[in-house]
Amino acid sequence: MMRPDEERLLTVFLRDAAPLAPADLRKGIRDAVRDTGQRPRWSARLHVDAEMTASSLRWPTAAPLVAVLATLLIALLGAALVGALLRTGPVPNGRLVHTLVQPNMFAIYVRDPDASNPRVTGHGDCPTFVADGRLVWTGDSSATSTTLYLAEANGSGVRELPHVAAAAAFAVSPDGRRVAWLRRVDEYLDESEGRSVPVVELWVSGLEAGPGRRLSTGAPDTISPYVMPAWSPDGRTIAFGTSDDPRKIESALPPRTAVRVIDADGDNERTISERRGPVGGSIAWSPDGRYLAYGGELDDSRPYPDGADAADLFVVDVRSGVETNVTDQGAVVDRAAWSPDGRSLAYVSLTERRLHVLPMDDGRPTGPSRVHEGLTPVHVVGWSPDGQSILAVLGGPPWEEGALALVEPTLQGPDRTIADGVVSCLPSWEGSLDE
Amino acid sequence: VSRALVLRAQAGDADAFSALVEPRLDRLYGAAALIVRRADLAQDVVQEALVSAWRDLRALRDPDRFDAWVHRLLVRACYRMLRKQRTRDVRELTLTGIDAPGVSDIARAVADSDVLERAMRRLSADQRAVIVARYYLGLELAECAAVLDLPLGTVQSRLSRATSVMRAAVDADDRAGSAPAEVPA
Repeated sequence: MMRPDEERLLTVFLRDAAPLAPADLRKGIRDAVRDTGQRPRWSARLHVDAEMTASSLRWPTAAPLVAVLATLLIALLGAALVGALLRTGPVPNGRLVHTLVQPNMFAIYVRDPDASNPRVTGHGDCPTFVADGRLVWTGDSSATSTTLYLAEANGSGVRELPHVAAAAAFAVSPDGRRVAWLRRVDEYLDESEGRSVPVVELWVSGLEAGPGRRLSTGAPDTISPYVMPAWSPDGRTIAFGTSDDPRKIESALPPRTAVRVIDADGDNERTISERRGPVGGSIAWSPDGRYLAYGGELDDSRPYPDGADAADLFVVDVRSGVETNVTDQGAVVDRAAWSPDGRSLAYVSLTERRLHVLPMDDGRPTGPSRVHEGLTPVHVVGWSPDGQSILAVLGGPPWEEGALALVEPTLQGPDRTIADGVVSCLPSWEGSLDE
Repeated sequence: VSRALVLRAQAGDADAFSALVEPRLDRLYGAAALIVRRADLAQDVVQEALVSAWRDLRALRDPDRFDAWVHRLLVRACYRMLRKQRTRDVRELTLTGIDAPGVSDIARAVADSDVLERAMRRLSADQRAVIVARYYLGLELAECAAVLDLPLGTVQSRLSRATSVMRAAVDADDRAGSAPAEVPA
């Protein structure tokens, strides 16, 4: 940081360098204000507040007591409902759904809770269990945007969800009633990467009926939100990632990326963290909804070994904004996953593509990570709802082979390979937070 | 902030709004000029920000936050203007590739404000905005964070980064024998 004498010098310099407002600007502003020909606008929120205040003034004298009691009752019922929805610990495993890439399609397999008895129920990509036991998946024909489908877990009753069109990514709310999705509105050619990059908006719609509403286009001058949206466990908040729009902000440095959150009703959008370099492929809420875990570059002044372009694992306290780097230039790829009890984070190292399990307490690591030395290359990982297994998707470019394995969280037990072949997406376990 | 003036302006009193803005105009214009670095653009920026302020004034819940709110509108208007002018800005930003932390003393530039001017030109728009918010508008770090819509830690790191760039620029200037750098005007 700047020394006090430098600060003083810069302050004096800026004061001297800043020009005074020209006279025509003063006149121009007066004219512009008058030319608007309107009184200042009420914001929608203030308008509601004003109506509430007015109605409260009309209440009979005894009404406030009734209102207080009613409010307490509603609050108690609400807390009970939220408590029921908010799963803060392990729950029994439900069924498991995953894909296997086949020559002409991505086949969808559903398995019993012990991962046995696989049966094909359809074809598509990224199948996900929703709270009522049905499945949502996307078509497998496009890598950048596609349509969503809803079906029973046995594959019957498939129907398209046309109100979720051109979705670049989606996430179903914990109660299964809403879907947050990235609506593709444009694309541009990233010349440095030689590929098309979609420009998307964050939308929330009813799962079965639309049209829903646009929640965010992200911060100004950003391509946003480009990371799969993530619902908080209570379904009230959505986290997403944004990145500087290289068409608008030129820089020799890696683009700035930000983790932002927004209430599911569209209010209270804010930046939780911002740094250079990519945010990992997803953002993970801790089971208690207090922390977010994601990959990001440590500091643009500190080079990474071997020219790696990403990234350490960070955990940020959503309420306080206090951010902790929980890895030591370990380099994360794609995704971190919280254990159902919130006491471990599983992630994959970029350089070695190995599974790490980091013990956590209160948002901070309590010791070094355990590393699975025998399993590589690991692509992405997730936990079983009962917390007794870590699901590891194995494989990597050029994606000619892969596998799906169950690993004990201690990394000491024998691994269990449950499928051979390329798996296109992180599988979904019924009852899991990783939806 | 005069709460009474803000409340009157919120009620639609254009004269109250003018009275509110008048004593702030030089600072707002100065800040805009330092960020966008062109007098004509700064005029447009200030006008856009203040017309927005007038139009949306009733969205301001706390009259005491008027200054912070207007500063935020101003910074956003600066960014919008720079976006429109990005071709020009790209030429400037290509000169900012100074990555090594500088070890020189900005105070050495005291005899020549041109050196600091050239150092300022090497900052990105984001870095200029945070420098202007902190050292021209005199905002505390938390206020900078609110005005720039950034986390506090990002404001700190961006300030640190801007300082490094300026120190390195002063160093480079020294090495060049104080010859003016070829920077677009």
